[in-house]
Amino acid sequence: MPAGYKYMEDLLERFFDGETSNEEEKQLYHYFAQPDIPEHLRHYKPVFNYFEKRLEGELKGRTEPFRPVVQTGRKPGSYWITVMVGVVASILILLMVRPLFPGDDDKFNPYEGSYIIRNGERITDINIIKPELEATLQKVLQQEERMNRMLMYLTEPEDQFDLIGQSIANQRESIINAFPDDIKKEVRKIIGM
Amino acid sequence: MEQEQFKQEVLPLRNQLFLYAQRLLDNVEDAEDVVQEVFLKLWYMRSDLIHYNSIPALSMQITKHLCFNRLKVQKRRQEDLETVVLTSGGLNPAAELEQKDSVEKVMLIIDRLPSLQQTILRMKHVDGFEIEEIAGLIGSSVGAVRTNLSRARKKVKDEFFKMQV
Repeated sequence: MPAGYKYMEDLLERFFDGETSNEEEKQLYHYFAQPDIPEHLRHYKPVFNYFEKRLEGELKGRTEPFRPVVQTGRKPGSYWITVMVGVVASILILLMVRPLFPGDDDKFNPYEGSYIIRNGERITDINIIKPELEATLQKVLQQEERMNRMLMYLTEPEDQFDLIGQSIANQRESIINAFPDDIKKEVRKIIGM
Repeated sequence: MEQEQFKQEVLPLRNQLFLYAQRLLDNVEDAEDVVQEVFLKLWYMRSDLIHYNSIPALSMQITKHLCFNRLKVQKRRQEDLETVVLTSGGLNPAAELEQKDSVEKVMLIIDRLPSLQQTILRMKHVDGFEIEEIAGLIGSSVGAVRTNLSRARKKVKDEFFKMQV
């Protein structure tokens, strides 16, 4: 191994320019680990001691530069799953807690403020009007159902007529197409197509 | 993830990341440094990469973070310079020396280096990679890696020389 200080000076310069191989760096470490080195190179001793021994210890003692800066391991859609779970959990908590605080809402009456007029008399007694209101509501519901049935009845034949009409048109077209061209024209004139 | 797999799956992102960094930093050299650092980070995370849904998305995120960090540092430096110009006096020399000593005792040498330089030193001095291997691994030129290694080593040297004064 060449150990002249001129050679070492050259290696030293190349080391700080980032040009040395691992093998050449070992030579430098070995050189600066010796006790008798020229005066003008002596101040490099702690520097190479650092590169050879202390650097690894410092790097092992810390993780910062190698820690992932972003944690994106979240699965796609997990944000919405989290939101949904949050919403469901909130509703459940609300349902569990609500019975502990009975409020005015528990006395909620859908017929509150309702009245009926009978023979010019305004009746607000809930016990009297409630059956009347419920019977009326039933009538409305029945009426609505009847209307739905009528609508169904009215729309179904329309579709069927369309289908039949289309089928007739197709048959007529195939019959016309079976004639020679000149007759076909005449037929179309007669039927107004 | 092994070296070859890393090269095949991660390195093709280089151009995309470089353009992104360049757009954010508006500087080619800074963008190159950021991209080097992104790949070095990914290299040290290679065993965890399997847990990420998208390596390109992760790489873009790291690039973005590093660019923003760099811009923040630049801004802070600019502000510090302005403060130095504006303020006069401050601590007396004895107090300054005392403060300097205590700071130096607490701080590790490695902490005084930017993270890119720390990582390159680690690859070279601890993991034993040659420059050419590092360049091949992170898709950079040998010259670009060498520049950062040189800066890192010179910085360490300067820190030691400062302590010896």
